[in-house]
Amino acid sequence: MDNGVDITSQLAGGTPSNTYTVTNKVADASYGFEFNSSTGYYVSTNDGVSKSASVARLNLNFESDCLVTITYINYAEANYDYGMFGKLDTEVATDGLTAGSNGSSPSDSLSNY
Amino acid sequence: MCTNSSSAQTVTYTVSAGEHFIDIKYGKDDASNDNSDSLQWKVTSIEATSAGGNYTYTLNNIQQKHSLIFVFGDVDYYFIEASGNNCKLYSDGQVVKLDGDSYRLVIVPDDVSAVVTLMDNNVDKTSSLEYE
Repeated sequence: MDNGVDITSQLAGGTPSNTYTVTNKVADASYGFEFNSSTGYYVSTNDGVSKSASVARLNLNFESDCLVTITYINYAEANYDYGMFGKLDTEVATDGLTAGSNGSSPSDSLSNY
Repeated sequence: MCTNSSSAQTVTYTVSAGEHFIDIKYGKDDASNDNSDSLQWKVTSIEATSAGGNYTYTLNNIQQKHSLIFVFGDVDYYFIEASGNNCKLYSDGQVVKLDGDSYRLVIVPDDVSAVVTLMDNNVDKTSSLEYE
């Protein structure tokens, strides 16, 4: 009688895994973001410090194409303080904002954001 | 730049498979501005999209009949790569009868995050699926 073959060794297991980690403060940044376990939010830590920046990095490791949604609350003084999300795979400047003709702006290109 | 608001807003990114990063910054100006404003953020969802995702199941040196039943949510399409002339995937319940051939089932689900199951001769082979 033909009992067939054991195919187990011929198969690679696994299901898609899409994960992320957070670097709370990127290298060279003076401030980072702290995780608030009660709210689940990462919160900037440079409050009360003029000409400063908090910079964190969201590291993504996906086995499939994904749509990532980030929820944020941005308490900021219009034209003077900014919350900014960099473009994918684009390093942003880690220093604070510099004065521009209309309030302040990042020291690197706006096209990075 | 983010919208200034004390209520929650969202921003989305379309990200391909692989390793990537997103820098997030809260900058304060160089004027006399020592307020305690802040930026708060969190990842609220990562939704797999259909592009590029498929599952495979391979049988080599087949010596008996295999009955395959798979559930992948909404399947966009499936196809087989097979040696010999006897490999067939019948439309009535995904039952395949083979004789001494090799067989590779490729399934492309509409949503790769959907529930996935595969039974081979009434044995759960879900963990043996290969994702590409």
